[in-house]
Amino acid sequence: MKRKQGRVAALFLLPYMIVFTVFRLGPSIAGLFIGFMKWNIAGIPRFAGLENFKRLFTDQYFMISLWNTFKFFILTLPPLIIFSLLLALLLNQKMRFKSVGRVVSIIPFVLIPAVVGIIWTWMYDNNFGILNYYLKEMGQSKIQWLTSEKVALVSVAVVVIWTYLGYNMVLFLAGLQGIPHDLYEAAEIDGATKVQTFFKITCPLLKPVASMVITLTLVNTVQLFDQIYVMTAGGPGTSTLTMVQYLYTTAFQNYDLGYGSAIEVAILLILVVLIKLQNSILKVDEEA
Amino acid sequence: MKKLKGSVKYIVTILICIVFLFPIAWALVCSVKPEADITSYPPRWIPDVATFANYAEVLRKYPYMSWMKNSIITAGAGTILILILSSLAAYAFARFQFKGKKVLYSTIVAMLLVPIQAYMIPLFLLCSKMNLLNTYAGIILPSAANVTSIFILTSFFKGLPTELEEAARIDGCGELRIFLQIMLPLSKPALSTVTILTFIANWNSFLWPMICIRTDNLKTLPVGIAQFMGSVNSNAQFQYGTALAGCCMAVIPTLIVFLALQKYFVEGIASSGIKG
Amino acid sequence: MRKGFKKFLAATLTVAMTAALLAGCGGNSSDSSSAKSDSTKEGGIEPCTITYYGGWTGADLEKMQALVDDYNSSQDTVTVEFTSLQWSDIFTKFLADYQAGASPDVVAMHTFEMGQFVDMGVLDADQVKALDLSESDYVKTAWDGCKYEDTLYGVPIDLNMHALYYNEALLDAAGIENAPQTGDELIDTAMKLTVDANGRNAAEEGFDKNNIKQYGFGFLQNHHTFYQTYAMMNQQGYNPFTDDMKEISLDADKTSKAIQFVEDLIYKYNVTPVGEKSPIDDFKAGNVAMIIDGNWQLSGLSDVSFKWNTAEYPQIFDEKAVWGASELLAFPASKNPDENKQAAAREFVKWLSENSAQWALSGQIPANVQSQEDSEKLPGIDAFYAEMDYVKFLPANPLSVSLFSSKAPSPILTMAQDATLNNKDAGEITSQFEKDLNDVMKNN
Repeated sequence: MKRKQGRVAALFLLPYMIVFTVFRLGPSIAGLFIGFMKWNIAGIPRFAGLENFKRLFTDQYFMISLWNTFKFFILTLPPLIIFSLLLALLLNQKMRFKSVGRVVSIIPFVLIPAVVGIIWTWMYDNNFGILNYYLKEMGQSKIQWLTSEKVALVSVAVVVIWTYLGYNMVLFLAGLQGIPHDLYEAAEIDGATKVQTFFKITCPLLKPVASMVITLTLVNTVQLFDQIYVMTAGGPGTSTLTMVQYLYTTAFQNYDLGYGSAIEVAILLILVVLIKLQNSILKVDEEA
Repeated sequence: MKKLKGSVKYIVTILICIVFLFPIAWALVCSVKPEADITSYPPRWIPDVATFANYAEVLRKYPYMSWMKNSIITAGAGTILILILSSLAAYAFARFQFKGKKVLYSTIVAMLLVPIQAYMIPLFLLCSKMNLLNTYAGIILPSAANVTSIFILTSFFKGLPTELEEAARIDGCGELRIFLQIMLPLSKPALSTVTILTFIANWNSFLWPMICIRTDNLKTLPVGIAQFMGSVNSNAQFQYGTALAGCCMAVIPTLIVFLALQKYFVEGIASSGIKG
Repeated sequence: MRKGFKKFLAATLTVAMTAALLAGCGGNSSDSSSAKSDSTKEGGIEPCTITYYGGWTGADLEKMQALVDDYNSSQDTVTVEFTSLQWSDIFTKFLADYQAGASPDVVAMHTFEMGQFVDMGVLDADQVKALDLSESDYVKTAWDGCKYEDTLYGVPIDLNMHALYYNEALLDAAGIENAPQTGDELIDTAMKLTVDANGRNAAEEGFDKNNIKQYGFGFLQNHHTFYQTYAMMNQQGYNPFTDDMKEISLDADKTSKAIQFVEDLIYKYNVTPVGEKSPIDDFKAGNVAMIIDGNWQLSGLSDVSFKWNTAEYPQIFDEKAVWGASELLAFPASKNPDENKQAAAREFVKWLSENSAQWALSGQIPANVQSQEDSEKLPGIDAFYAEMDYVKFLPANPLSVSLFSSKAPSPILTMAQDATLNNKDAGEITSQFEKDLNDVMKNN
C-alpha cells in the first residue's frame, strides 16, 4: 500500500507544485541570487561576488535595522500569542454574542494595511489626535506617539498587535474546535478541574496549531511592511527602521537591488533561526 | 459565583469589542463629516453635520466600482484556485508517505520567509516574458502560489483521525474519493479559515498588482485607492474625508466573506464528524 | 515508483527554476520591433496610444487628469493613458517596464531625481532636443534644473517653493502691521504671537512654556527642515552640494548656524511646537499664527474662515534664498523604440507645457512663461512669484535621491530630527550629517 502512494501523491501535488515553482520558487531563488550582483533594475546586472554581503557587517544602518527588528518582535510576539489564545478560549465558550466578538476581532485584519496606518497616524497626532486629547482630559501630558524616537516603535507595535490579534485568534479557535468534545466530556466525568483540563488536554492537542500560529506570527512581524511604511517610513530618525523597511528603501528608492537582496538573505537566516528555536522549545516535530 | 463569572465574560467581551472597533468607529464617524470638520479640535464623536458627500465624491471622481469589480474577480478567483490546489497538496503532505516529502515541504514553507519585495522584480520579468503582464491571469496565478494555506491545511489534515480513512481503504475506496467524500467535509473549519485568510490577503495585495497592471481598466482596489489617498507624509493636502470614505467602502466585500463563513466555527462540525 | 516521482519532480523544478532565473536576472531580448519607419510626414502622426506615468496623488492628481482628458478630447490621433501612483512606486514601475522592454512614453519626475535616471541611462535627451524648445520661454531656474552636464533631459512644467503663510487676523490683533522679513523680526513676531493658557505671550514675564495655547510659528519637522537649513546655508552664500560631487566637506560654522536657528525657534524661543506633524492643519485651525510651507497648499486654503496672506521667506542671513524644486516631463529611453509613439509623446508634452495654465489652479507655478501669464493667480501666490529669482534647487546628483531622501535611512532626516526633536548640539549634528552624506556616497 505504501508503494502506491508515491504516484497518488504526485497527482495531488502536481497542480500546486507547478504554479508554486514557476511563480514563487523560481523568482524567490532568483531574488536571492541577486545578492551576488550589482543591479539597479534598469541596467545589466554585474557580478559582485560577496561585496553586498560583506557590506552588511560594516553598515551602521543595517545594524540599526537589525536591532529595531529584534526590539519590534519582542514587543509584538508575546501579546500576539498569549492574548489571542486567551481570546479564543473566551470566545469558544457558551455565551450569547459570541459570534459578534469573533467577527469584531478580525475586522482590524480585514482592513487594507495602508488604511490602518493612516487611521492610526491621525489618532496618534501629537496636537490634534484623539488619543492625546483623552490624555489631556485625564490630566496627563501628551505623548509624542510617532515623533519621539523612544516611543515610535512601541506605537507601531500597538498597531500591529491590534491588527493581528484577531487573525491569530481565528487560527486558535479552529484548533480548539478540532479537539473532540468527547475528550472534554470524559475529563468532566473523571472530575478534572478546568485548569487541569486546559493543561492536560487542550495544550498538548493545541501544540501543532500553536506552533503554526507562532511561526506565522514570527513571519508576519519580522516581515511587516505596509503599516510602518505609511506611519513612519522608518523614522523618526531611524527608530522604526526595521530590516524590511531598509530593504525596501535600498531596493526601490536607491535602486540597489543587490544590497537589498543581501538584506533579504539576512532576514531569512534570522527567521530560520527563530523558527528552529521555537520548534525546539515547543518540541514539536516539524516533519510533514 | 457563576453569575459573576458569567458577567466577567461579558464585560471582557465588551471591552475587547471597544478596543478593536474604536479606530474604525472613529474613521467611520469622520468619514461622514465635511472635510473642514474632520481636523477640527477638540475632536467630536457626534458631527455637527453628517453628510455622505465624501462617499459621493469618491464614487463620482474615481472609477471605484471598476476597482471593486477587479478586486472581486482577482481575489475571488485567486481564493478558489488556492483552495483547490492547496487542499490537494496539503492532503498529500499530511496523509501520504513518499520520498522527498520532507525536503519538498520544507522548501515550500521556507518560501514563507521570502517576502514579495524580494522576488517582485524577477517575477515581473518572468511574467513579462510569458505575456502575463496587465492581465487578470497575471495577478491571479502568482497569488495561487500561496504558502500560508499549505501550512495551515497540512497542520489540520495531520490532526484528522486515521480510522475512517483506513476503513474506507479496506472497503476499496480510491484515494481521491477518500479525500473528496470523507476528509474534506470534516475540514470545513480549516477550509473556511483558509478561505477567509487568503481572500483577505489577496484583496489587500498592493505591490504585485501595482507593478503588474498598466491600464486603468484592470486596477484593483488597493492600487486605485493609493492614487487618491496619497501619503500622509507627502506634500500635497491630504484629504482625510475621501480617504476614509474610500477605505470604509473597501472593507465591505471582505466583511461579507467573513460573515458568511464564520458560521462554520460556531457549529463546530469537526467534532460531529467523528461521532458519525 | 517513488524514485520516478522524485526524478520527475526534480526535473520539473530544475527546468522551472532555470527559466525563472534566466528571466529574473537577465535583460530582455527585444521582440520584433514595432517601430514605424519614418514614413510619417512632417507633423503627421498615426493614431496610437501612449502611456504617461506621474507621481501625483490627491488633488494634484485630479488637476493633471483633467489636463490629460482635455488633451485626449481635443484631438483624435493620440490617446494618452495616464497612470499615477506615489512617486517611488511609479519609478519602480518605470524601471521594471524599461527592463522588460515596455517603457512608458512619458514620465514625470522632480529635478533632483533626474540625475539618477540619466546616470542609469534610461532617459532620452534626443527627444527633448527634437522639441527645439527656447530657453526664454521658461523660468531660468526650472530650465537649468532640467539640465545634467549641460544637456537638457526634460521639459520643466512647474516650480514649487517655500514661503511664509501668516494669519493676518492674529497679527492685526497683536498690533503687528507687517509680516516678518528678517530673522530678528521673525523671532520677535513669533514670540508676540505665542500665547499660553493665561494669555501671556512668549516675550512676557511669567510665560508658561508648558501650557501653550497658540504658537507663533510652525513648520514641517521632517525633510523639509533640511530644506530650510539648505535655504539658510545659501543665505550665507554657501552651497556645497553639486551635481557631480563624490564626497563632501561641510563648513561647520555656516551649517551649524543654520541648524541652530531652527533649533532655537523650538527650544529657546518656544515659538514652535515640538513634533509638529501638519503645520497647514494647525494653521487652518487657527492654532499656529505663521507657518513655512509650499505653494501646493494654496488650493486648500480657499475656505478658511480668517484673513490670511503670504510673504516671502524671511531673510535670516546675508542674502535672499529659499528652497525650491521643479517637476518635469522626460522621455524614457526604450529598448524597442517606436518612432510614431515618440512623435506622439513629444506632441503631448509640448501641449502640456504650453497649456499648463490649468495646472496653476492647484497652486503650482507653471514653468512655461506663457502659461504663467495665462494662468489665474490663486490668492497668496504673489509671494511665491516674488521669490523666483532666488529659489535654490537641490543638485541633480545621481545620488540625490539617497542623500536627500525623505524616507529613512536618510542623512537629512537624521539631521532634521536631531535638531527639531532631540535638540542636539548643532556642531555635533553637522559632523554627523557630513559623515552620513559621505557614507552614502562611498557605498554607491
